[in-house]
Amino acid sequence: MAVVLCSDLPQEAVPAALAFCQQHSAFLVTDDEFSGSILSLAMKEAGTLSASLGILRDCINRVICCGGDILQTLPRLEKFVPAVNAGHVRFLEDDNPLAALQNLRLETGASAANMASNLDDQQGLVLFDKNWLQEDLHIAVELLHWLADLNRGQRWYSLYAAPAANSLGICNALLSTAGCPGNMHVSLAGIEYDPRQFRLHQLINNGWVDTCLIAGNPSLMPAALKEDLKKVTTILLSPEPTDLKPALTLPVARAGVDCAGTMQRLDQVPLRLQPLFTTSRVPVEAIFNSLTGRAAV
Amino acid sequence: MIVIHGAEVYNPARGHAPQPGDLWIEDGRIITPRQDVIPEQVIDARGMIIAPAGVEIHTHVTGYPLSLARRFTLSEGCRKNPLLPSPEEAARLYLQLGYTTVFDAATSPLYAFSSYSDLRQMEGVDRGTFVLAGDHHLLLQALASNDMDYARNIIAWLVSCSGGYALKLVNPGGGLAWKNHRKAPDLDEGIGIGTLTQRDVLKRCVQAVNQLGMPHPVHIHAGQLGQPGNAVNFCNSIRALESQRAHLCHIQFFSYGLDPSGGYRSGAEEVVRTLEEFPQLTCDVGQIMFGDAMTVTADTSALSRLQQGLKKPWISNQVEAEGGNNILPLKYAPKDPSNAVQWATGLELLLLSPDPARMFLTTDHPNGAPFETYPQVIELLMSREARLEALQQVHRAARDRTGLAAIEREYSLGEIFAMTSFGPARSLGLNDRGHLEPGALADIRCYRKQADICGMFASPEWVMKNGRIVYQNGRVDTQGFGEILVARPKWDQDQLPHIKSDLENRISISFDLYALGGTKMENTREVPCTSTGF
Ligand SMILES: [Zn+2]
Repeated sequence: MAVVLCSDLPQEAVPAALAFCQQHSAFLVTDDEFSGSILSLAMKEAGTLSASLGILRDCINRVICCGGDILQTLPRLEKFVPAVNAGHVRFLEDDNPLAALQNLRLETGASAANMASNLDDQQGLVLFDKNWLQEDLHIAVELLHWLADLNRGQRWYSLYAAPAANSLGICNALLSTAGCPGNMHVSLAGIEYDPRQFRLHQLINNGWVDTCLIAGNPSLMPAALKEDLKKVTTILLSPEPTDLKPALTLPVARAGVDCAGTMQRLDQVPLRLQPLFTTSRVPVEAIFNSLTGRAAV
Repeated sequence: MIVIHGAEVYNPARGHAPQPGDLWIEDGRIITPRQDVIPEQVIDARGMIIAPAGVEIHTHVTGYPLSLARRFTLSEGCRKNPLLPSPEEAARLYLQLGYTTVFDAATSPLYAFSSYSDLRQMEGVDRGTFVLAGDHHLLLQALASNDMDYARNIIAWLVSCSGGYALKLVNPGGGLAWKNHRKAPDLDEGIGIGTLTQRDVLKRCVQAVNQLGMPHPVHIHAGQLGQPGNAVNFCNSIRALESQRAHLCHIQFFSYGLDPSGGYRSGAEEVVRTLEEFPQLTCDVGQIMFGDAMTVTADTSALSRLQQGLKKPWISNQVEAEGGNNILPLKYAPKDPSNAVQWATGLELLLLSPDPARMFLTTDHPNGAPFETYPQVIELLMSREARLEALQQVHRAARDRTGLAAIEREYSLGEIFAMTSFGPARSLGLNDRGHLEPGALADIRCYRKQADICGMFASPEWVMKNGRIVYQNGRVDTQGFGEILVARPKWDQDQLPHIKSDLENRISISFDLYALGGTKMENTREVPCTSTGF
């Protein structure tokens, strides 16, 4: 079996899903591998400098957007980064991001020495998302190397525009409880991590799973993967209807609407959401817990 | 009623020598031996050593910085990483080492909910966390205007709303300086808010926390961490506390002299001598051991300096109105002269310090080494032979630039228990543990007596929490044990609107969501503050 954790879930789903997977020797993946494994591996390779939104609001006077449409996906960003409003934005809109970044690194290397002076009024932000990086590890690594190069003479922070409400919250909660951000096999013997083999389409097409338990709304799942899902039995635990046709759907509560839950902001600051009203729906972690409990009996 | 019969009992409250006699337990606590009743259970402990369970005063096993750090350990295959166990694993590993109380050294208020989520996973041990505030704008402003009443209120409010146990200062003002492209301030240098200096911050915070009567005094990570020659600044920082009660953490990283070559030499003697003048201070050592380590610190200034030297990738996250979350993987190599001196300096500090109940064993896990190396450090402290042998394996700088080789002292078992149980419990204001007097928690470790010191400490015969055996024969039972220990110093509710308006000017999050966002914590125990008035 594979359990898919989707990026609209609160982080409370994670320990419950892990316990369930451990009991059933199941694979655990997310619907957003870029925010999980790929970005994490890029950070391991090249490091990163980031800052909470308040710092970006107060200090940033230049912004580089990787991709032309990135600001449209973040309509509230202007509130936090006034530099965006003031027009101090440069767009990188190259179709070949790897070549563009490699060129930038050459330029940066040449001018790092000159930039060392006059630091006070120079603080920048590199804003990126997974589309422009083509969800590619090598391009992501190149971007973070460039950021590190920039930081030799100046102060540049990075901000990753995650594609869904809690992509990073799920990733961080997985790292905290399991030690890796998805792509894992969980059993009583321990956790095995393999970002190349343990991907949902591989698991399905290799015949390693016959059932997929999808928790949350897999809105980030590519269409091809949704096609793959037709080859296995799917069970959906979602707060809302989706375009999947699962064998079974259990409606669950939504954090911040009909249950409490923790989601992470763009800068990974945890936000505790309280329910707006009460319904009979239960949070997804309660379903995992009862499934785990039932099997134990 | 349970009786532990026939063991050599070490009760650090009564000195370092073992006492014969049975230990009686009822309702999870030690009681005075009874003549008039027959106990329900007698545990045969002949040939065993009984001691109070270990108390960890400084480790990093929870919170957002650890999720950042875990990215550096991602690799294919099975995951077993002693440097970065999950919070749940960390609790089990500590129990297996005989520790039943574990304090994580740092959470920043903005990320407090991540720490709380992790603390909840640490079933089996009593645990808590310290709240970082050395770069907190609100607090620094109050201290700068010398408004001690407001400063006390901010500290009490910050610790309470973050679910913390104590106040932690990390190189105060250093994070603020780094964000503004300045070098970290020296002790008497302005930190950029009025005329406030680091000395002022240290002195006034220590005073405020002691006035609030918090169970643990301010937990201080001083300035100039890791720099050759920093012992002078550290000794001045100790004096800056003006004989008030405080705890100084991982002092090995602050105890370096300057070698004529520009590198490290030991400054342990000078530091221990200075500490001896101030009996109200406690310290933990932050011993390094050779092998992989992971630097996890709020001290952005120190880590960026190290990172620039090593030219290795780091993950650094800067937090508004607070410090930062900074991560850098490291390897301590025995043949590296700097690492060899650091290693020897830590041991020297422990061996020169006369009172083990004031100088505690830590590795600042995972900064100096994983906490699982404690048995190895204990062996080095208890056996000069083991030390001399180890010295042969490391760079000669450890012999030439430290005093370790000449030290003959060998710790006794009683001293080890004072250093790992009694002392830290007392420093943390937890009078119910760290000893075996009637009324104490029955948190107990039991070892089979043997010549192999390291082996003995690495595998207790059994470990008891609240009178029940939670570890034996490789099996850990954590269910239903352990609480989150919190301190909730009193603060003036009338100040809340003032705090709110000041904070909302600085941060990008609504006041109601800041820190734990008003979440009611589960499974907590409040350790009382004993304010004696201002
Ligand atoms: Zn530490």
